[in-house]
Amino acid sequence: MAVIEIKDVKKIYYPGSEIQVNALSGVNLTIEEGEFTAIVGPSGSGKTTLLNIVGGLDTSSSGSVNIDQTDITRLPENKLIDFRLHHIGFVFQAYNLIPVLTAKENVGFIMLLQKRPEQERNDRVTALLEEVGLSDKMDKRPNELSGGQQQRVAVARALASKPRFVLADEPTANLDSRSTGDLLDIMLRLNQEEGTTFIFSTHDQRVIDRARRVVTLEDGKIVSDVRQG
Amino acid sequence: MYLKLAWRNVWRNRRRSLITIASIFFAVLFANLMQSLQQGMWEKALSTTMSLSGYIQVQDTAFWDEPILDNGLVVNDSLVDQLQGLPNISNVTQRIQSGALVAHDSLSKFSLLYALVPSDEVHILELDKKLDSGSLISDEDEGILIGAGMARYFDIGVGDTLSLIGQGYHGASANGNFPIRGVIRYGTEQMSSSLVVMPLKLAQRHMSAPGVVTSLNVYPHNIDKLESTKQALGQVISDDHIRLMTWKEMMPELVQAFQADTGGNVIFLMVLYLIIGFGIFGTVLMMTAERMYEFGVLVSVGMKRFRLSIILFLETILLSFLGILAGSLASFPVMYYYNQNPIPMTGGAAESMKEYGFEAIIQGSISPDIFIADAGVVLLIVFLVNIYPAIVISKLNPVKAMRK
Repeated sequence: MAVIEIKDVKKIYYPGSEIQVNALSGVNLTIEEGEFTAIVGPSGSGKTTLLNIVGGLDTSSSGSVNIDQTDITRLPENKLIDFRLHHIGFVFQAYNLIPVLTAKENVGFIMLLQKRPEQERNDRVTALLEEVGLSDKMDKRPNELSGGQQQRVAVARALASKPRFVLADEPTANLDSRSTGDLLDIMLRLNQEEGTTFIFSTHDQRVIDRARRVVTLEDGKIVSDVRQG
Repeated sequence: MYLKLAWRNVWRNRRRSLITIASIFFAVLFANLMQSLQQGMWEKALSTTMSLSGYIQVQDTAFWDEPILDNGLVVNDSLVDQLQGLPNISNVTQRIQSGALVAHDSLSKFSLLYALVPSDEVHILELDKKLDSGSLISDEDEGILIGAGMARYFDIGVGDTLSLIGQGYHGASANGNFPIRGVIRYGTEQMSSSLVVMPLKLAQRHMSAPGVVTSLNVYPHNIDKLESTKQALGQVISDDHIRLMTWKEMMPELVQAFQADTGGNVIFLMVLYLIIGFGIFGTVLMMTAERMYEFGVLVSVGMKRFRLSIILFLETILLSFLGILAGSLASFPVMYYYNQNPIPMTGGAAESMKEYGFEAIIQGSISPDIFIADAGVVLLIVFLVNIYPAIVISKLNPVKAMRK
């Protein structure tokens, strides 16, 4: 079952000017439920732009992005924010946890925005932090955690809202090899055991090697789409 | 959670928050002290003046233009009781205010004669606290009280007799000798040297004016509701020959003097509030600029822009609250000290006060209005300052914000 259907999406920066940039030139892509997909390509190939458009953070110049039959390119700003809150989990390259909140509060914050009951929040936060191996760091603030631990909190936060899929933009870019391995283990386990759909952009060969599907972008176009192992 | 988040954000940059709180603290401290002394000085001046005149007077329509006993009112106790029962009325007192020549031995001078019902007025005029020697007079007394200045002028005291020579009601003469029961220190030196206080019944007999008063003086509980109280009185007294006047109508020069004095201080207050405004704005500007990335993340993960603005608003409210609280706590003991220990005025300022008939002292006010007004102005500033981050957040592009 398709979770995301991207149809002929184009993104043009500075249209009509001398410095016009075609960041995406008619991208078509379907992501099925439960996939573990890496979007790869050189710098400037359009990976981040594609992820931003799929995540509803940026607008396309044309084309459509259907998520569970809703074309998010047509949603007004307020509904789009709500849509992101309830349907999409985000993991950022720089972790982007709220510095004044503890690990537990950071993970619970998304559920608070969803107005979930306190008991449900506490139960899920505890379960998720145990899942990512941080049950002993629940009350630590981000500056008391290593980069790898912060990114694991970010993954738990992304999953807290029970999203349809998780978008991760270069999630391992700032991590050492051991932390990268740990994070990938967690993401793959969540994908296999709980069926969470992951889509991530990456340059990291270790990540690419473990992805089930690798979509390669070059100059804003998909040049290969390979399913592996 | 939002409040917790705001509170922790306030202390993310401890030094900056402390500087902001300090700027609010000092501005509130100075504003409170200045307003306390200014308001206190006028409160004291008004209460001294109003204790004699009342805040509203009921007079015959002719009395204001020609203040003589013949233009007085004939009143009965039931009318006074009826007025006394109206809302916001604390006291209604009967007065004869007149002039008379007073003499002792070979000396004489003009006096201000206040005839009143002692049992009604002792607490209004605080005569018991102002008694210098002798005793107070009773309603049925045949004696009088005089000012300390007058006692000095005639070199007389308790037990001596003073002659009063004046005009009575409808052409009758009003001459008599009255024993001095007590000497009081009341008002300014000028007033003290010409003051004679007499029981109303004695005065009415002396002036051949039974049941006549020159005014009914009204003292409301809440002096801010003068106009509505005046209207209520007017509905009970529906007589074309009777006129109601508030102290503002009777003493327009006093109102002007008050406005002129407070007007000058508005500029100083504006400067203080500008300091607060820029202090808060500087902090908000920095808080907004350095957290654009974070705002981008929060909007990305699904936080409504409005809620984000609320958190920033809460942060500035918390900062302001701490500043206001600290400023108020620090200013109160100083205000209280000057309330209990008024500052004596000297030189030209003192002379100017005496010309108006006020005591030349500055007494600090501890009215809650001062604290409430300052807190209100600071909150208004916070509202205005928070328009900026609200606009920034409403226009925030999360992708661009996170790229920065």
